[in-house]
Amino acid sequence: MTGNLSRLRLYVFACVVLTAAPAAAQTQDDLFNDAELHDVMLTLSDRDWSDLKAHPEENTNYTADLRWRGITVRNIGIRSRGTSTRNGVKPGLRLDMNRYIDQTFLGLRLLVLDNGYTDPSMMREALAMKVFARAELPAPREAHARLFVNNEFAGVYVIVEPIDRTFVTRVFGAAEGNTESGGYLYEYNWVREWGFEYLGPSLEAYAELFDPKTRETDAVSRLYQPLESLVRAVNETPADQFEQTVGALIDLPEVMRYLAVQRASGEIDGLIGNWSMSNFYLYRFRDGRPAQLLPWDADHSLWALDDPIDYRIDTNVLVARAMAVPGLRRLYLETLASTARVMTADTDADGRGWLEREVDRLSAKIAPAVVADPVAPFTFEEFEGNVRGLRGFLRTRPPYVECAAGAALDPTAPQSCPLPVYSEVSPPGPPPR
Amino acid sequence: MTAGRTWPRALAVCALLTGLAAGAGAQSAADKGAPDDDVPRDGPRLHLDERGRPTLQLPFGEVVFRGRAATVMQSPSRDRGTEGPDPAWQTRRVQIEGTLFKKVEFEVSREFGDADEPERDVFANVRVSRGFELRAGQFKMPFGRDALIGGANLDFIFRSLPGRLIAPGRDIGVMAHGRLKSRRLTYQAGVFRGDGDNARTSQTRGGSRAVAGRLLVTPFVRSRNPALAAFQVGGAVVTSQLDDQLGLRGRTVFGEGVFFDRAFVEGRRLRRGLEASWAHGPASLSWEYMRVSDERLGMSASGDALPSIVATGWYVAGTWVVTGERKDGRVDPEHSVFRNGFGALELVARVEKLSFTPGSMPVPDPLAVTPDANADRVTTLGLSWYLNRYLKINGSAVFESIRDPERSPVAHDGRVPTAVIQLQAAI
Repeated sequence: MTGNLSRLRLYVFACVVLTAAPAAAQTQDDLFNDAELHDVMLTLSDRDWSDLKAHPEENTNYTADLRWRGITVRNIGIRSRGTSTRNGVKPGLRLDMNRYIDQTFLGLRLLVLDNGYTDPSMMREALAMKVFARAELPAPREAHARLFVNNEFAGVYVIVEPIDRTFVTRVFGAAEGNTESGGYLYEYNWVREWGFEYLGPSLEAYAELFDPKTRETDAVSRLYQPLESLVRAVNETPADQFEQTVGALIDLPEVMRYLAVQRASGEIDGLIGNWSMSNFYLYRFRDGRPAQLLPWDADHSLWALDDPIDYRIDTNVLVARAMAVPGLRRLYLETLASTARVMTADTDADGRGWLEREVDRLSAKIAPAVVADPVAPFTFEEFEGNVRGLRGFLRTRPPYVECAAGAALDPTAPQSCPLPVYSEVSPPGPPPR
Repeated sequence: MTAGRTWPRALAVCALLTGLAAGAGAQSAADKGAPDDDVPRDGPRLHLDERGRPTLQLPFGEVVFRGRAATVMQSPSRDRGTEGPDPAWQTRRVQIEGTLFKKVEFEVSREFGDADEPERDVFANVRVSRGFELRAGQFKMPFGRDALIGGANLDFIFRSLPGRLIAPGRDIGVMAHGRLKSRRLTYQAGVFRGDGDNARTSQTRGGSRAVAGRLLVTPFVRSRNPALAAFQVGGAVVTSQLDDQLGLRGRTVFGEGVFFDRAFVEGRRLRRGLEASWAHGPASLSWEYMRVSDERLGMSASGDALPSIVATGWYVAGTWVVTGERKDGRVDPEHSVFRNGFGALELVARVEKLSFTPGSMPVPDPLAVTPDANADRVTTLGLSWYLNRYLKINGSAVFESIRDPERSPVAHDGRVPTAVIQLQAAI
């Protein structure tokens, strides 16, 4: 009898001990679902938030709690991020889930909150990545959010999927994303204008430009020697061997398609941007497949309305030499044309193609939040003007690109493709507010 | 996320084991030396052995069935993201061991709840003589006193950090072992395919081709003074090969923080350890020191070696059974709670430290990335309540302090105090 009583006590003890919370069922797809305007909550000490804004140039991490749709991730690290967009009014933020605790948020170790500081429309980055995705090129997923810091509205941000090991796993598979045996991911670090010219045999020059984001502690030669070999091959391989030799090191057809998407999208700060190469990652596969480029920070896309399709191609050795290969040149032109067609596909009764309808959908979704944004770097009138400008861009740039690419592909096609002229096109309905 | 499904299962398993254990406790004394007369003495016979374990007696040997389940619940901590008590399974182990033809021993155990590597010990042991036995299969490599203690006999809820992170753990291999000089010397020496599951994760494969040896000396084993006889000292060495792979990682006691992240290493991994232990009556003391160095050959910009990454760990532990029972691994209470007694109480204390120290170069390599040194110092104070020989409730206070707060779960000062309770059932 006493034994039974003791056992009962033990069960009661176990009942008290073994309590738990139900699991949530949200996914990354939910987070990057751009059909809605997300609410992202950060909680941190007022002093830390003030410090972060007072020193936006520093990479100091502060502890915070992240909350989204009822999911709370405690004790993450947040810090200021960005290059030219760093500021103390509306700081871009990098959320590091496992800075202090070995944890993830929906499987993500990092998350970027882009402040859109140079883009009054707040949409260019997200629209550009949509075009990459439509072209079946790997690109970060994005969605808009209202950020609340300590329950106060802190502005409209773009949630950006970071390019890291988790991203590599998603787009290239688990084997590539393996911590120990996966491939090599580098972020291109703009330090000066550089167009893929050979920098000599010293690995330091390449380490300065390519910042490893996986296998950071690997042997120096394994990290940087292949980059030196790639740049040397791009510069020194005879023309008749270029496609075969360099193509074994970097995926030249992918480079052509990548460039075509950026050129069709009017990107001015990309692979052959106005300041030379910028804003990309390079991924070297573990199994020796040719390396690939991954797009990043595209908030200067949908910008260059009247850049000719071959603009500045001669400023980049890799691109210029690839363009000299007829098959690669043709692929570039074909992708230009197809990207232009994708942007204007399924034109509706109002004359809006796919991407213009996306502009209208996204702008309608974020406009009320943009109006209320207490730290917006632009006025709402500038936002509206940019939306009209984007619509005008999408009415004029794609037809020009398709025409110019077609003319270059087919000598019998009309050779006169006038450069587009800036125009603004108002949305079909009343302006969203 | 999985806690929602953990608690009913934990409850069910605890209930089952509690019932079995209480039942076994009630039966074992009555059944000792009283075999079932309905079963022929030369046929298979199921009974409880002297430790109360279900045992299948065979004409040519015996098979013992064992199991262990434990849940732990730690104090809530905002810094670690644990809102509530956060109960979790620590272990759910089933084990079968036995002896065949008096010379061959075997053991098979499986951990439910470890989807990646559920197999634990799977080995056969042939006893040629007391001085020479041969073991083959998967089993714990001979390194680290704390690491080699069976989970049911641990004095603490968690093994020491060095025992968990530096000692190699299990691998597949062949090992000779035995006792010499009237049990004054105990030796173990073997070769293994890898260098232990403690260095492996789902993302890292650990070292390979390990050679391991351990020597224990019990200098006063023949002494008439029993307080001296139990004193033991020893040392162990394990060497293995690393081929462009990630090295060891420093994790906090509860595993939620990484205070030293893995770095790529290449060359030889060398583990060295020293140990000493003593137990007499209700008290015991133990000490261990270990060091592992991972080479980084050819990893600098010039192709030369980078300095090895070195991890050192030590602990000092003491236990005292307040109720006076003799200390012999797991305490067997003289008065079980299920027999109108109070069980047994044991006080435990341990101080430990684990440090990672990447070596420095006279002229630093500007391109090589080397993690900064860091260390975790832990003090554990605990009280174990043995309800009977099968059931134990252990409450501990764990005070953890990480040298670099930025690489700790608590960024502002690196101090992580935690209270933790363990409920363990083992047969």
